[in-house]
Amino acid sequence: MIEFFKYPFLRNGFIGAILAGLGSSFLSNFIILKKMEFIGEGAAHVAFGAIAIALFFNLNINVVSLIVAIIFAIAIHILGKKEKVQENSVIGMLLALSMAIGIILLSFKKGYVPEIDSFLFGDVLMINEEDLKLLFIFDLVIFFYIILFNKELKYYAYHQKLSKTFGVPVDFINLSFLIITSITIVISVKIIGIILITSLLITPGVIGKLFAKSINQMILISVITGFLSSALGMIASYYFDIPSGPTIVVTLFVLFIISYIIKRVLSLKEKESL
Amino acid sequence: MKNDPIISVRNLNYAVNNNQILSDIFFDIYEGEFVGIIGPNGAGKSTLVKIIIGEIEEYTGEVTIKGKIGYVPQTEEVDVTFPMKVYELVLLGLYKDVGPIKRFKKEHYQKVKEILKILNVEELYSRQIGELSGGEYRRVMIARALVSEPDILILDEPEANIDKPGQELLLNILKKLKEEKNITIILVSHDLNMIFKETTKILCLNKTLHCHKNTWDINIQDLKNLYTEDFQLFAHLNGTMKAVIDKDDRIF
Ligand SMILES: Nc1ncnc2c1ncn2[C@@H]1O[C@H](COP(=O)(O)OP(=O)(O)OP(=O)(O)O)[C@@H](O)[C@H]1O
Ligand SMILES: [Mg+2]
Repeated sequence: MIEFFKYPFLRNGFIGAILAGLGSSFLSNFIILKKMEFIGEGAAHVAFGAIAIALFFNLNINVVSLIVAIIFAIAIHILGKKEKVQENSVIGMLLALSMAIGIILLSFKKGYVPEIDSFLFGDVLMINEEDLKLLFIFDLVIFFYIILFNKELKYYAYHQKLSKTFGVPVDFINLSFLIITSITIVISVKIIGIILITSLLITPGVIGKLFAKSINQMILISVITGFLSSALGMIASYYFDIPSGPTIVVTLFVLFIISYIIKRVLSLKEKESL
Repeated sequence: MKNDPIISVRNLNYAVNNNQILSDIFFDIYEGEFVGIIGPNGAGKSTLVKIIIGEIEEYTGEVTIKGKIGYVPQTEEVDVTFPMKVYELVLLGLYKDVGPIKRFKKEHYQKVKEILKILNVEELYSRQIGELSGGEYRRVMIARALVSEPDILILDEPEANIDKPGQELLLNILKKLKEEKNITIILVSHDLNMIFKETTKILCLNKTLHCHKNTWDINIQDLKNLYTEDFQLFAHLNGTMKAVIDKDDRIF
């Protein structure tokens, strides 16, 4: 454990994975309750285009990613006011387009270019101090956002249209949630990877929902799950010398299987006692 | 006051993808009226109600509302595994009293308890919403509409899924609210028996407004015009509910 923190890149990777895990698992609750898993996937793929653009033009990756994330969120917000099907189709098209542009740009780029694999599956070696600061700030933003707008987020996730008629500012919640989610995804992609981040945006919430009787219980369970999977995944990846992103994903899935079995056993016991 | 309508609809038109759902609707509703909206399936009754409560905004024309609305939707597609308790769902009815960021206070929880008691479902207070039966959920929806003490209560087929005692309880609550607080009630229903017995005014709707009259003045021709294809069935319905049609074709 101690040697783990001797090397700065390992330490950065460890802290980065935990910060990304916390942020994503907070958001995963509303993503699965609102059934918008696809948006997470869309934002992650769009991030790839953003990173490629930044690399190609020698711009700051985080700045470009933030701008692209905000544009993506606003576009989805506006489209979402129309038909649901249309929204998903547009995300699907943007997702592929962004990947395509990214790959084309990277193929033209001369000099050092990280492997495309690093973006697809994550690479803790790419994390620097600036990334950590950004992740930390966004974890704080998410935390306070969920505390402040707790009941608004709950009603919004329950039934957006209905809540609107009861005066809940669902348009504001929708837009702010999309922006925060997109930004969190694009700044987490470097660590956990485009393909794998979907797992962190879904599994903690799914596990929380298995046991929770209220949304705040669900958030608590999911955040513990997110923290555990990032920490255990990073430790396992170090000791077994395997890639960190996939290890986190496998850890999450193992946690899910264990939770599912516990849930089944609990509900069987409940039935017996009746 | 009597001359100031609480709901005023002028030249209302609504279409979805070139499919005209409501055409040229004009009417006024005054404080204290008990208005029934009747019409065949697909007539646009729920659509009209959704426009009045503000869920649908893409219409043309003018809709003016003066007062707080309580609304019971016809259906509510929800995720039954959503982790939420009954009282949280009823608290949504008090959202406007609290607003963003602030938390619900003790008095709000108290109000929720009271309204559930009035609807005879106080034991559902901390039940998970996913564990409710269809009729229990409907009663919770009614509680959510009533808890804010609205000036206007709009119910879209509230009797659906509700057992006979529940329907009678609901009617008694509505009558009491009308007597004590003079609230305005709009009731969409296919239960013509109830509509003719309880309401003071009737809107006959089938894409356009066929009639808007005192309940007493509705005659069989109005209903013939409204329910063209189902008229046979309707006449039979009258037979079983022992409605009397006098020589002017009025229904008692
Ligand atoms: N979202 C929608 N998109 C397109 N058409 C719709 C939509 N919602 C309703 N309609 C159509 O509008 C018409 C009116 O529907 P509405 O639900 O208002 O009828 P209703 O009078 O309430 O019927 P019911 O008695 O069955 O409840 C129907 O023809 C329906 O198919
Ligand atoms: Mg209807």
